[in-house]
Amino acid sequence: MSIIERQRFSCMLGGAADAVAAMPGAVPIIHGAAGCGGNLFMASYGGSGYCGGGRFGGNGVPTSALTENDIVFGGIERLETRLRSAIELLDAEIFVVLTACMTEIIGDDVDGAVGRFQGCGKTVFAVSAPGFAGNSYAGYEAALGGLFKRYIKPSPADCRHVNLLGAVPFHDPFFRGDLEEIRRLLESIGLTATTFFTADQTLDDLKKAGSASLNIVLSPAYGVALAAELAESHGIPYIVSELPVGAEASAEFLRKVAERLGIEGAEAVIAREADRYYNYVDRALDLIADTDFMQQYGIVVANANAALPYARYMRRELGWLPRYAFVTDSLNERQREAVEAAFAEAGMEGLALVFETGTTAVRKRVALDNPPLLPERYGDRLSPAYILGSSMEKELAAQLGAKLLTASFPITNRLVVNRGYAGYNGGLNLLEDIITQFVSVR
Amino acid sequence: MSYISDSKTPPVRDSRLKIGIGFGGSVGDLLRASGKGRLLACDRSFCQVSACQLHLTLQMVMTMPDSVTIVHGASGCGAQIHTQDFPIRSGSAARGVKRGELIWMSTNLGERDVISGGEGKLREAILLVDREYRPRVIFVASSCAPNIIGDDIDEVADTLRGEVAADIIPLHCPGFKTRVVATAYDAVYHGLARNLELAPRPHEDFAPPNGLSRDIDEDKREYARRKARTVNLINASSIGAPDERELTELLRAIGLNVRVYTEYVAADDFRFLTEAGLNVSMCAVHDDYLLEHIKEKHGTPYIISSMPLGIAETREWLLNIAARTGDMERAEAVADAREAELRRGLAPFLPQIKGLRVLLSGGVIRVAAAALALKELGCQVVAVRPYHYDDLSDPIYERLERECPGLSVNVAPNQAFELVNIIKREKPDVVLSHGGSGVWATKAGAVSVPLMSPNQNYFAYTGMYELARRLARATQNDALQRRVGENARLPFKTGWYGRDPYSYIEQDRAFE
Ligand code: SF4
Repeated sequence: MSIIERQRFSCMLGGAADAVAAMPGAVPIIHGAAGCGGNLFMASYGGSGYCGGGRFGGNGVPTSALTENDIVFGGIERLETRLRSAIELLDAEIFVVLTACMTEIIGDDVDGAVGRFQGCGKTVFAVSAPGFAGNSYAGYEAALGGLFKRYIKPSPADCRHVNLLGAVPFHDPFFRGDLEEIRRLLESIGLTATTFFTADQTLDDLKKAGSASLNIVLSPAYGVALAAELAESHGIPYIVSELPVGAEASAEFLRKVAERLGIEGAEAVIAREADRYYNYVDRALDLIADTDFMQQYGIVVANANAALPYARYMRRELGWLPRYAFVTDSLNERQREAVEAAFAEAGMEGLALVFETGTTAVRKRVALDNPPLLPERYGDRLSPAYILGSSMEKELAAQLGAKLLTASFPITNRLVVNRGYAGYNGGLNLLEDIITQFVSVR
Repeated sequence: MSYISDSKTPPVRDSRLKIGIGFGGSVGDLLRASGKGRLLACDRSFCQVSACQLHLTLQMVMTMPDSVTIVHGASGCGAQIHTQDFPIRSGSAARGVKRGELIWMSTNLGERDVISGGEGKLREAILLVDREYRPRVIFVASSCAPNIIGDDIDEVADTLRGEVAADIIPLHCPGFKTRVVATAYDAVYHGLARNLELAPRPHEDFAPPNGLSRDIDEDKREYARRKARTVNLINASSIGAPDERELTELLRAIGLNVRVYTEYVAADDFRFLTEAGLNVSMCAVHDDYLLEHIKEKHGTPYIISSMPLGIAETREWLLNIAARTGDMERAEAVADAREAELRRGLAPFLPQIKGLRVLLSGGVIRVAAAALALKELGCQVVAVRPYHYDDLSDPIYERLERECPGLSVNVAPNQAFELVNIIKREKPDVVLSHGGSGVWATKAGAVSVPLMSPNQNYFAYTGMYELARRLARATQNDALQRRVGENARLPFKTGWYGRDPYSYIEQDRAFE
């Protein structure tokens, strides 16, 4: 792990706590200093379009609240006391102890401690999540992995049920809207789905995840390793798909899933959805087709989950010319290759895929490729340009005189509630938000 | 107090002061337990997360223009700057300080660094920042992991001092070292005072008297006269630009020259920090560490007295300063005039506010000062919930005991479970709440009004008016709170609300 400018993620502990608290009936308990949880929540909250802590998250997360003495002499006793109280006080079913940097460094026997809570009538287990072992995306995988290991039992496969993996709470700021829409698509071809993180999820949905006949990973990078593990441990096969954004990608997604599960009738659904979709698009064309909004050079700055879907939407739905896709996560080699392969497969000629975590470096790269216009009468340039990026792309937008729609972490200028960009409805939302940027100055 | 001069690391408030973070009872009992030094023994057997001193440290130092901050730690420590970015940029704008985007880095410590040390990466980060951004100052804030593995950030800074153009300021602020976030004030002041020049440079900033052309003694007297008319106001992130403006205006009205330190101040302007006759703190819990140091080293006296919030406190604050500068008469006249004007302004709101039952939750001085201010407005204070308690706060809590005898105090770094229990039990009309507790008050069905907000005015006369106006407005329609209160699911078992809110505070030995 190298030094990094303004990381667009937090640490493994943050990601794990966010994921646990986003699930129904589950409480993270942070075994570390009292401050970690608050700081990490501020990171996710502030970057996610202000997604709040909800019932068991935010600054309501229980902690062992270790101080210097405990770091010297061990913090297990405090953990046990405070965990016992949490179980007594909180109306939850699943208690997940997450270890912070300091408790991993001092080597607290956390598994031993949670072991003493077996038989208390609740599910209590620990997940190792030290910040130095990975970033928040790794924390997401660790938390979900822990849940599958300790709570979700392998059960006889229900050929109509699937799980959705890969959409990461908070760091995919539209995770709730996206997951709801993907589930709607799946339901339209007769399936049910565990999303883990949408408002409707119950403990039954979590349990049902064990009987899924397919894990659908909506990310080339995150949840893939977990899905591979689950194929072993739970006998659930998996497919990896990009998050479908817009009509074209959604149709492809439906076909892929239907084919995999041997489902008939997907084409009728696709035709119906397309009809509705383009009916709406039609009514936007009066504005779009007569203006310069028609075609832009596209720049995407996003995490590994959204970079391709956004670039592809620009290219294949809007008919724009995406020139760059900057992936701002720090990825391991396997993840990076998977992202590259996904871009290659999508056929995005003319687009440079760049792995770059630093905001300044992103700007530098664009400036080097596109030096400011010399004082000559004629000169081609990257304009008009449109950026789908984070709030940190404001300077890049200024540099290019480009429009910016904040659509990736960190989003600080929007409140995101249940809006999504996935599926058919998401594609329409994205169209609406992209074009609104042009008219919002009127 | 030789810490700043002699020790690389600042002390923590847990040992420097008599502190505590858990208590539930009357203000009198709180003072007794604190006096005996027994508050720290009041531990909680259940705890919810809060912020750590790294957070406040970053909030403070990142306000310095032309600075870049490196957080030395794992990727999570400092990631909350995404939330701090806007308040700092808008705080800069509100003070007329030019500020582009905030740049920060993480050394992003990994498993290997934890085993073999992270100093190399820190060195790399400092060099990169110096080369890439050429800032005037590079702050290095160290979090927990490097402290536990024994990285020496001062050593790294020392070895690079000749090599990089920027001043490097190490900040020791690992969360696990202290229970109180306010320790960050000491961590920051320690770093600033050890690494910045706090006095003007002869020949560069002023021409030292050379004895050739003029009467040296007259020069010195003249200098002292000028210096005596200048007062430094010491600000903080919790104090917004509108508050600074109102206080500055009051002091100017009595003829003083006012400057504001230490936030939003450029490194080179610190050379004039000691060119004042008096340092004035705006909150008793912030500045003693720095102001004592300046007094010791540079002889500048200081005033630390609660907070200029409410009519009586504001008058006292102003007169306190005027007594030192010899402007008593003018100060009294200003206070009289401003009070009379305020009372006229308040009159239309008072009938609406009178008798409101208010619960306060937030900073230790602020909840107490605001409670006294609310009493002046005719409200009834249900309880105050300071984030922590320390003996720097004794004077205002003693006053609270005199003016609101028997008042309930719940010392708690947020701890939503206690807050919600108290709200369910006491059903206050309004909760005045620090960020992070308003959401819980709302979910519990109560109207909440921010206890502090960097773009609002709370201090002195205009602040009092704004507070009254806000209370009157907030209590006119509680539809959201009612709707949410009926529908939101709180995390606690319902049995909790029937229990003593302080059930999880172990305070039986508080008075031993
Ligand atoms: S308590 Fe330590 S590890 Fe946790 S966020 Fe603060 S500095 Fe980082």
